[in-house]
Amino acid sequence: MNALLRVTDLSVTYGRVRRGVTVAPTVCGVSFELSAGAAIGIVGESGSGKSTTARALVGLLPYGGTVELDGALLPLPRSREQRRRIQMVFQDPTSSLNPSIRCDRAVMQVLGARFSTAEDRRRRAYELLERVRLPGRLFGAWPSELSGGQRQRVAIARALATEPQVLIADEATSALDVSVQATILELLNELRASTGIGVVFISHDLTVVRATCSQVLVMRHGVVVEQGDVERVYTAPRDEYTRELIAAVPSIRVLSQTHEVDTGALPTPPRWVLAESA
Amino acid sequence: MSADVLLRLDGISIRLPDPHEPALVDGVTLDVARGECLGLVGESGSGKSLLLRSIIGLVPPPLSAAGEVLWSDVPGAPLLAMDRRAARGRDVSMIFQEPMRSLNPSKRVSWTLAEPLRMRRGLHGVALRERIISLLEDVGIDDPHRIARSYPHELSGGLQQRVMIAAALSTDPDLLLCDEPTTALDVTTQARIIDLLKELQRSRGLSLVFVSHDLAVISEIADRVAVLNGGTLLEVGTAREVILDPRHSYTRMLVSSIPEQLSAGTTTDPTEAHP
Repeated sequence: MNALLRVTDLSVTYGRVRRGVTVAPTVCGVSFELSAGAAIGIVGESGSGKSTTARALVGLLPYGGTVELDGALLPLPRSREQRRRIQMVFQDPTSSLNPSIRCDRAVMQVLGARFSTAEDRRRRAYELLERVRLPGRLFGAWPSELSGGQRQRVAIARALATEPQVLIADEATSALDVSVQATILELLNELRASTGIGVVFISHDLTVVRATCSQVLVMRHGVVVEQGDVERVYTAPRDEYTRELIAAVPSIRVLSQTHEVDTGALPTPPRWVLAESA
Repeated sequence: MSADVLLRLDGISIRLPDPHEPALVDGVTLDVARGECLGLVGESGSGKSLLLRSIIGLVPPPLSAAGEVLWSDVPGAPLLAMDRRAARGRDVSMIFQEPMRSLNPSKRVSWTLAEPLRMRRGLHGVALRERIISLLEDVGIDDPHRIARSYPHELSGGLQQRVMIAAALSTDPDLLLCDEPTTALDVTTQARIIDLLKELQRSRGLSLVFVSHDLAVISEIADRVAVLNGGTLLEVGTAREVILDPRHSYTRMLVSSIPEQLSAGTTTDPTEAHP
């Protein structure tokens, strides 16, 4: 089985190494494999080390352990070419885009190395923006003119511009409305199928991970407490903490549970629906 | 209709100064019963937060609100136009999405909680201090003495939101307006805050209006749900009716975007979903 990304015993320690002082690692013993076109989820609360893991994977933090891409070991620091192959999308699309640069230019900036003429860069930028399904009239818009979901699409187009093999989405949908989140998840699924890109999807919400990923790592206090097939983890969690995490996710299932809520004291006015024009 | 209506919004419209611009909230009429939690659902830009703010006259200046807000003081009392100045912070309180923005970073928690108690209740000295501690206990804080001495930045997001809820409850309001109070929190913290709000609703007979874009959150807390889109009310009913059997096509789209629905295999139709 040839994995696209193989992470073995990844650990990250913040702070300077000093003699005689042992600093506990923030993240320790993270191992997983990701094949092309697949998605793996990392779930946990704030402070569980999931974003630290993501930053180490892209080479933004020094780490222990090994990260292999396509069978080749990635060193630290990484070359430009190696950095190109793993890209990241962040939680807040507003802060990942320069407010004074129009969307098409923001994507063109990244294309400088591989396309010599501005015309080629523009054509490629338009292709990418089309691929993330940004409406054509918005290609030349300022980031401030876009909605949160549209901004996240531009951020994804920018990440795709370097033709990465792995995309790391660090809470990429957490700042978005649920309905917009659904469309971004769908876009990521579609990109995986069409380009064979591998996705590492980080979230605090296990149901969101379940909607995109096949494998999942549950992290707590910097260690992986449970790892495996997402359906198995979701339906039959083995770890106490995973169970807690699943129970915490708000669910519409509460409505179909049989116990009657005591609404005796509450008046229930009749249901009302606005008539829709056909 | 029913004697138990606490708050009635009658034809609330919120507009920009330019009369040619479409209304941001368009003639919304809604009742909130005593002791119930009404969930107000919609996407960004649907006008849900504006509608919530209009209840206590907090619509930001260039915008203007029209329509009537009626209020019933005690059970059985007739609905009368609400005196928003008097009601604000006494009968009606509000909590917001980002607790850190609502707390003064240079003041200790005890100062934040003392202010409304001094102004609205005239408490001083020992009575004031005791009330602060009991309020912190009410919102499920285990170590109220230490938290009262803390500065907001020393607290986690969940604790900050608990402090905000304590401040909102300090004047014993009848109605608590919640503007996405759990959106900035982790799922586990969110679940605890929702449990706390439900508990307060039950123990104090508090009414809640809970705004969220997340139908899953709404279904955990709301007794009834109102769906808002583009400033227009689309559907009102009990949570079970609206979420398990949505009648309006927009509500159906919202229900289908709940993550657990996505993984259940009912993916959204891209032509129907919004960009």
